[in-house]
Amino acid sequence: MKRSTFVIYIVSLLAFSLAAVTKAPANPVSLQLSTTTITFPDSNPDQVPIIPAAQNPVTVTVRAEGTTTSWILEVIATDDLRSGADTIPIDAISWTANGAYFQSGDLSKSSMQAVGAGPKGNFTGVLSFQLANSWFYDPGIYTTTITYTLVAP
Amino acid sequence: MNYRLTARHLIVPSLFAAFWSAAPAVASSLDTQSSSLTVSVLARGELVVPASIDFPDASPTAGAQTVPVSIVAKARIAKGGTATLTVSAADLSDGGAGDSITASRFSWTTSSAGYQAGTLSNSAVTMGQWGNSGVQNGSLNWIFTPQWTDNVGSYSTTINYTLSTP
Repeated sequence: MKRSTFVIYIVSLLAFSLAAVTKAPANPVSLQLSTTTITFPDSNPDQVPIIPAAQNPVTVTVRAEGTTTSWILEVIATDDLRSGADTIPIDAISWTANGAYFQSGDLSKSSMQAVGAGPKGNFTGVLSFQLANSWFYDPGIYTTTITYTLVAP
Repeated sequence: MNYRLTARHLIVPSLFAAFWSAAPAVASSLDTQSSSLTVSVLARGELVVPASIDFPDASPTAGAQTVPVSIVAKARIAKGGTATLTVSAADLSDGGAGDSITASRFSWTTSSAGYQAGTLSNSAVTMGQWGNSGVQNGSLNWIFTPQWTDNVGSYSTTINYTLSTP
């Protein structure tokens, strides 16, 4: 075999090996939500002191497979609910959870709040969001965004 | 120069390839999803007022009679707006006898924030004003002074409270 042919052969083997290493494997964890929009309609605070979200219940599906041994699901809000200069504190919104490994909590803009944690596998939780109603909210359309993070440590 | 390719030449590259190919997958173990939250809040108001204000019979010599009452005005007010509470009432009548007591003989005092003293009238009179959303608790004293010229009877009317929100 000529030297050039031998070099090409070795380079090909190296390229094959590198391709095997750099091939993107499937993500072993994934998160699915039944809706990415949650709305709370206007209500009289005396008649409806706790407003349930129109989309309740929100289904959360966690898949933790592959080499994963456990998972943690957390949520955080980017900010309080805002309508121009007016705000509604984000902790006025809470959720109750049903389903193994899922838990209830209050939203926060400063720290991640646990939604659930569990072992390897596929799990479905049902979350029901609610807003503490108040006469002290000024009229307006208030919005914010919450972000769920599923991580397999 | 020529090289002879033998099995010996394949050992090192093959082991190298096998080692890297069998290396554990370096997988992402993170997933994120976002949701939007929207809350609708409309302007609205609600009043809690006494069902009745009763002045029992008293001698005009005793002077002014006072009845304390509590009022709660709840309002969501648009920025820059003002919620206003007004009251009005027809003159008091004693039913079929044809006697009456004018509404203006009734007045109220208060020291509660946002509330103001006034005299009852057949037309709307301001009882309170607020510039912020919330719950306004008011303590009022209704005042009526009987007169010797009032004919005997049981007089009544209905007070209309109106809370307007911008």
